[in-house]
Amino acid sequence: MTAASPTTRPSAVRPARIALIGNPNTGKSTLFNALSGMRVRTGNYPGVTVEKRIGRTQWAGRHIELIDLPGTYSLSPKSPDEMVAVQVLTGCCDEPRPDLIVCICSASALERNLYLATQVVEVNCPVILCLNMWDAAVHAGIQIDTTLLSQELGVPVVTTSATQREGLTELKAAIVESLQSSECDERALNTPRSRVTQIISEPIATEIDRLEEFLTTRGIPAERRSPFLVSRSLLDPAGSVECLLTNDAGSTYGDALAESRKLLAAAGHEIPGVEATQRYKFIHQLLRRVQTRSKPTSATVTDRLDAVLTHRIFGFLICLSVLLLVFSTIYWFSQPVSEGVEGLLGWISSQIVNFVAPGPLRSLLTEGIVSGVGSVIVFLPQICLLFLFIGLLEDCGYMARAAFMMDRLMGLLGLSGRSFLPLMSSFACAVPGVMATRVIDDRRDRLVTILIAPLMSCSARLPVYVLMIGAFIPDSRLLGGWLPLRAVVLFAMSTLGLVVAVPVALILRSTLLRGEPSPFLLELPDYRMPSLRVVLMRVWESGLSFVVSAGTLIFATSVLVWAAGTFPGDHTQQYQLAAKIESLQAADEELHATEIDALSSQLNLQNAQLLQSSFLGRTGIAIEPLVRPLGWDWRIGVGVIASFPAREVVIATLGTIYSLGGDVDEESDGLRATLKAATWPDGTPVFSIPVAVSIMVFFALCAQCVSTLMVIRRETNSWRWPIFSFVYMTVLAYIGAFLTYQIGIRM
Amino acid sequence: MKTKRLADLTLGSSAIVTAISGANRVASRLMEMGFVPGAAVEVLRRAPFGGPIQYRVHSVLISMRIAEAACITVTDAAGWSDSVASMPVAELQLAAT
Repeated sequence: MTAASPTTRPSAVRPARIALIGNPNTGKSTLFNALSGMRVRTGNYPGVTVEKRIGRTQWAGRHIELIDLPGTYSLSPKSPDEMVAVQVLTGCCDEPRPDLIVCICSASALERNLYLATQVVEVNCPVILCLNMWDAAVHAGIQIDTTLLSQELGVPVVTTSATQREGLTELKAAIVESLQSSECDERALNTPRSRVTQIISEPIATEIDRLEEFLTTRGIPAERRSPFLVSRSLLDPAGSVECLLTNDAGSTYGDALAESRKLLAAAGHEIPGVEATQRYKFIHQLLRRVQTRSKPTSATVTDRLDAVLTHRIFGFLICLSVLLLVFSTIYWFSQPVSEGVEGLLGWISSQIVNFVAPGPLRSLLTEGIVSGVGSVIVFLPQICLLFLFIGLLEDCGYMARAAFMMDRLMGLLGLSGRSFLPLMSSFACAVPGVMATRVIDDRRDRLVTILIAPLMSCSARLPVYVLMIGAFIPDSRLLGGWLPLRAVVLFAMSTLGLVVAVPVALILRSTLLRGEPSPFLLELPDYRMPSLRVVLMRVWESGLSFVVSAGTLIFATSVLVWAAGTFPGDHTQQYQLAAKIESLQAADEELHATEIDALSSQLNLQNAQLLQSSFLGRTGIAIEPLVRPLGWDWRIGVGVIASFPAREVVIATLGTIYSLGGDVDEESDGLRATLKAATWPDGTPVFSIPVAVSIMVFFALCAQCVSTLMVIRRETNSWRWPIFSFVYMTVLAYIGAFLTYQIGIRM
Repeated sequence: MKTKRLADLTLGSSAIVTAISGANRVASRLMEMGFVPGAAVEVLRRAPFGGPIQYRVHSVLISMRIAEAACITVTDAAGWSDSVASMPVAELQLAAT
């Protein structure tokens, strides 16, 4: 075997590129994982938030690169996902063309799945048709004559059952054979011509010829005016291929296209509808010869399950229970794990304390680095658990039903049913919630969901509420003495974000993210047993991508904020005091108890002064005029700024500023008492009910969580949206706190 | 031959698609998913609170909102072609085109 021309034929040296394409819900991912093993690399296609999955493997001595394209219904793309698939197949942008395409269809639904297949076989590239989920088809009583099908379509046909790992050797063998024969002769480049005329009627074929001639006279090279590309530019008005060719050939090509379309419309072949009609006609006639169904299509397990699971009342209740179960499991499970992580980090810190003397290095290690790593790792259990649930629900087919049933509710926010799970997860924590927006395929819906997810009251806001309510809301009872006022206020604060999210979502949808609402055409796949392997791989990929893309930024910000709170400042006295306390504790803690207490108070005072003179503290003092209208003094301002990495940090910061040390929590009586006693220079108390409520309202609406912002950056692939989130939420929080305070003091 | 919109059909009924109105992306996508003239559609059930409706077309389950279903005009089996009225529904697909 000799390669004819190294520039156009796949050589034995560079890996063969194989693209996997198919409708959603055809088991493409399972097949991809089975073929590529563990060596999968994920990333994003340039400029878009479409996930790119490449697997590297070796068969029969050849290096293979598998590209898992996003699920596609047709090569007339209607979404960024589909656009990427078309671009990879046509070889534009930076992606080189694949050497072979495997088109994956579900054997139980060929009536619909073959639509894409009939388009794919026209591409200027060898194609193998893979009928996946073959076992389900056999079970449903479907018989398919694969030899005849192969003859009719002109491509090899292989049957597989990826979950049962059947047919994989045959598929690999077919791929290798196809690669070898395409390297030897021109056959692969000639066949598409005949396939196009077979499916599309004569008038359209004539127009395609005419347009191809037009492009030849314009000097477009043969590769860029293949029958496939020309036909796509004609049949997909204003699509990416039309744009591509108009760029190459000039706007006169656009005119030629318009003329062709007018001609065809006059002849009764209206574009774009005619393509679908003709292809389905071809498929119908083909399947009459090739496929027989021995059982009627309605008596399936899926239908019986759906009768219960999508029942208007019971189905809805079941759906709600399932989603609440997911939510509570994450919420309750992640708490002990987070505590475990914090315990581990605390232990590491104490080891560092043993070995490193008090000084800037120790401070950097414990408060900067260990704390920074901790603020990344603490999210991993929740992310992994949520993605485990999402993977199981999607793989078994239930996720689509949940979106179906929640759609009307989400319609109140201007969103679709797919937004329900991410928003609900955000009530526990917005970090996995924002990552979960990957299940939303409409780009604008996804962005709106990402932008309102942080408004859902997350668990990190609770400590602030508990502190403020415990210290300043009176313990009175309403409604005849059984409803505690404190509980009402807590509920109100927890739902404030959700209430505000409704108008925010609607405004976003009608201004910034305005656009034609994408149709809610949701396919409900057959129920099937989820593949644990695929799900676990997805969990691993998500966790890894979080740590690498978002985690590094979260860590960097933590260290930066630590630095802002430490420098500038002379810490020598602080270090001396700390060293002295530790040596006394090591000697005999009880004996020196009083001395230790006295030194500790001095240390706390030092900490407070150092924080005040640090960059963070000075910023807080500088912005005091800004926060006065909210009823705050500079200390609260510093607390808010310091809580940028994570909301609950405000508690420890307030403790430090008020010279109580950073170890206080929201339940500390000491902190509560100190806050109650805090006064302005003229003696009036700082904290009152309106101030406390304005602080809570601010935290309810603000974006003080760098982790969420970094995850938004990762999911939107740009800095624009996290910056926008931060700005709009801070403005919203400021206005909310302002109104609360100003109205509160007048009541 | 009476034509209705898909949105007007009652739950549990079947019909044949005659046309999709509009030439925008929604119409194009509907046709690509199988709602072509001559295709048999079965109306299955509706989501709570007046949400989307589930249909079966080409042995696949697809749900869509009322707004999308209103773009599709349908007719009953008898209205499609008298000569094939006695054939089972599946066979009626594209028999007349």
